[in-house]
Amino acid sequence: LNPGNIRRFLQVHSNRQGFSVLGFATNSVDVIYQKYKQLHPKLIHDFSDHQNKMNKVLEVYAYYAEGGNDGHEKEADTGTILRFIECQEPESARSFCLLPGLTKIDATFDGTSQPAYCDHWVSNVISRTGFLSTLEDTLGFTPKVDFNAGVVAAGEAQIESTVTGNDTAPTLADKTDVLRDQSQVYLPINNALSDVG
Amino acid sequence: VENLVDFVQRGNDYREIAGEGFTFLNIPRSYYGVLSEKDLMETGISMECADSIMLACFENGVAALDGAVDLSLSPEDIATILEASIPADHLGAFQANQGGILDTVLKSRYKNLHSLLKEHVSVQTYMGIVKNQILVDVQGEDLLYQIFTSNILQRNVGEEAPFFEFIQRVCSECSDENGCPLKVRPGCGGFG
Repeated sequence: LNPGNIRRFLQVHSNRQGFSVLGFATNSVDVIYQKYKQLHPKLIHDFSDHQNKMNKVLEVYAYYAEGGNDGHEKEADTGTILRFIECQEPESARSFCLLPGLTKIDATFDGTSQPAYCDHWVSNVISRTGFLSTLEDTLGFTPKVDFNAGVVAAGEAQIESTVTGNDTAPTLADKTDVLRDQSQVYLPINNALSDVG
Repeated sequence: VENLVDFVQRGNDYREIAGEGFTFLNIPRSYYGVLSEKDLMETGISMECADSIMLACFENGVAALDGAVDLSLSPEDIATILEASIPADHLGAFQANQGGILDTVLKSRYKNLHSLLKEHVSVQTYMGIVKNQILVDVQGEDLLYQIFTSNILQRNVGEEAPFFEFIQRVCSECSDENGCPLKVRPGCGGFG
């Protein structure tokens, strides 16, 4: 573990706690890396090929910092990282945790626990269109206009919101499968129009 | 989650027992529905009788001043309280319309939701939604139940901090031309 990661996060986030990494399992880390290298090289943070553990990890900064004229001249905002992990070994046979610094253990739950699965991940950003553009360049994500988009009110706040994601929406018959399935990624991306947001 | 009402109820119960756990954003009762004189008059009683029922509700803890009816009272509780506190000159009208009046008082707790969801949701679920302060969004034939936690990882009051949103997607159970259920589309119900 590198404490510099924590220091960097706190420095960029005014010493406030929060989430610094959004991670995805993928089977195409090399392709994503090439896209970032070609179109957004300043966003690349780390690319590791962990042959001994049969996995590859690409970490990129999610956004550019404010300022600059176009994508290639802007500097990265180092406060938030997207992590892409590719593993050759199927999850059922894996004896290690894909996430760096963590050890795999079997989870146990009491009899009253209820499962919750990740469904979508919301980002509140300075430049919504900039983030959308980066995700389209590198991951091929496109806005899902069928869903909530445009200016919306959220309590006192007024925000602009666009939901982006991949284009391989599966249709599943079983409700439990739908709940667990994470092959469809949805990323609502918001920017505030009001002081509160 | 599979059932947001059960999920949040468990979270609230555990917090009450253990003194730790998620707290959720407060949603005003007016979001779900409150009792009004106009609703009571729709049962066929006069404005004066409706006024006397509202007053009896306020004075005897059936409803708060904003019209939010107590969620813990049973129909029998409310009937007993009103029967004992409505002035004699309106008691006859109350008794003649008691069924409709009690139904109106009870349903007022979720009447705004009921106007959207009709009979597709059981009374038990409606009450679970109101008691646990769950938001409901409708998109076409799909529903989204949602709730937001208070800030987590917040060092100082007033600072921006992350929070969790828990949702339950209730996808339309449409059928194809052969009557077979259509497959479920991810993201149905939207994102709130």
